[in-house]
Amino acid sequence: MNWARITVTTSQDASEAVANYLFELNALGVELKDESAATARLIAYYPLDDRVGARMQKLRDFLSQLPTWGIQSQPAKVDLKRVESEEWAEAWKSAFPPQRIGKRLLIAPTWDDITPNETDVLIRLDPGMAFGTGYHPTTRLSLALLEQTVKPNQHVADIGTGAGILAIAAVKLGAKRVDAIELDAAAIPIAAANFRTNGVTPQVSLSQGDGLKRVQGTYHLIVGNILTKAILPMIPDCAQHLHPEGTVIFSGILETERKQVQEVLEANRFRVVHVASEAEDEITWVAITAKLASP
Amino acid sequence: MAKKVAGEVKLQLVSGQATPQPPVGPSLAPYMINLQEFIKSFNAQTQHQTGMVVTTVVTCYSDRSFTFSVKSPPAAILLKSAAKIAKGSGEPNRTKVASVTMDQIRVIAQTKLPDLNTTDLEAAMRMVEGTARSMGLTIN
Repeated sequence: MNWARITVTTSQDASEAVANYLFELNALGVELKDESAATARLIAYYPLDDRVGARMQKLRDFLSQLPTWGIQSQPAKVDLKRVESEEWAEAWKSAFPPQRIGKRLLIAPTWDDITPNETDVLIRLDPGMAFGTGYHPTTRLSLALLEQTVKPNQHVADIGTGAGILAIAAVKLGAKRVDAIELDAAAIPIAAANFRTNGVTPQVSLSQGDGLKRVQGTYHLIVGNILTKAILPMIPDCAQHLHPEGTVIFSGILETERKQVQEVLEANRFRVVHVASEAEDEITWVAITAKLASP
Repeated sequence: MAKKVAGEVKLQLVSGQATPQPPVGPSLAPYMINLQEFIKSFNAQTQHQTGMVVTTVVTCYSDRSFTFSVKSPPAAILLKSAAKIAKGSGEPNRTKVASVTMDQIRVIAQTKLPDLNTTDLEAAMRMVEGTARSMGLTIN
């Protein structure tokens, strides 16, 4: 089926009335765009059939009447464009190809039938709400450093687990136990579902919490892919919850914030052992690996 | 982590009934987000008011993740609710279908104010009044 895309350019004051009228003309929905503080653009779609001309005329009449009801409708412009139907339900999937990170990690959505190599560590993760898709530089940096750091049978804490990708990677790289902690309640069911999909639920303890504040144990590795403003206050807690030979990995740090994070780490008995970076969209992200200076 | 916003898409949709068909599919297509996930989440979040038009703002990030929020219903929906009608007039100049009071106009303007491009309540009321008249409502 082909579609008639009708775009109405009108005043912001008229936008609510016009949107309602587009629905009265049987639109399934309306997209609203702000052209400026005074002007709005409203877009609605209708089946491209012989009713389109009548709809256009009704809209023009409606716009011309708006001033009589006390609403200025200028520029009161109505445009029509033919839009061919596309596979909207499926097209977005092409933006999420499987990606290899480090030497062994392979991240792939559940719908992709990729066959991993014998040595691959496959993580199944569908992109979705903004809790970590695996397609962000800070996540890629964290995963690459995790691969270099995690050893079999270790205890790991993943602070700000989000969609759970780092916790899943830690288990699949050999960790015996992972405490996945997340502040945002909305992310908890998403992480839980991803743990089930990847078969790591038995090894992961998922909880809602603020950093390491309510944590009792000690860890061989603490990883946090969060914001610098959340990392900085957590660093003193990390020293208390880290095994003497343990490692911390912090990601989500802007290059401009690197020095500050390093200084706070050093002020809390850590020594930086590795700094990795990746640039995207003119922003350089940094991930830092550190260990306690005097175990 | 702080992710770069690739764009925001503002839509008025029928609660609980979003599909990949227009306007959802073509409006979100440039951002290549997980369309199924948005539709599933939006319909789940709005299912308690199925059939009512709501405004949603979808924020799309550079890594193609997204969030969305559901805003106050459109003024027309609030007016229909206040006037206890299901549909406005097809000929608002000639056929009046119901009436609303200035107090109701004021309450609706106050509800809409956080989502409008103005902080002026009087301007918001004028917009709601005009919308009411455009639906064939008289104002008492």
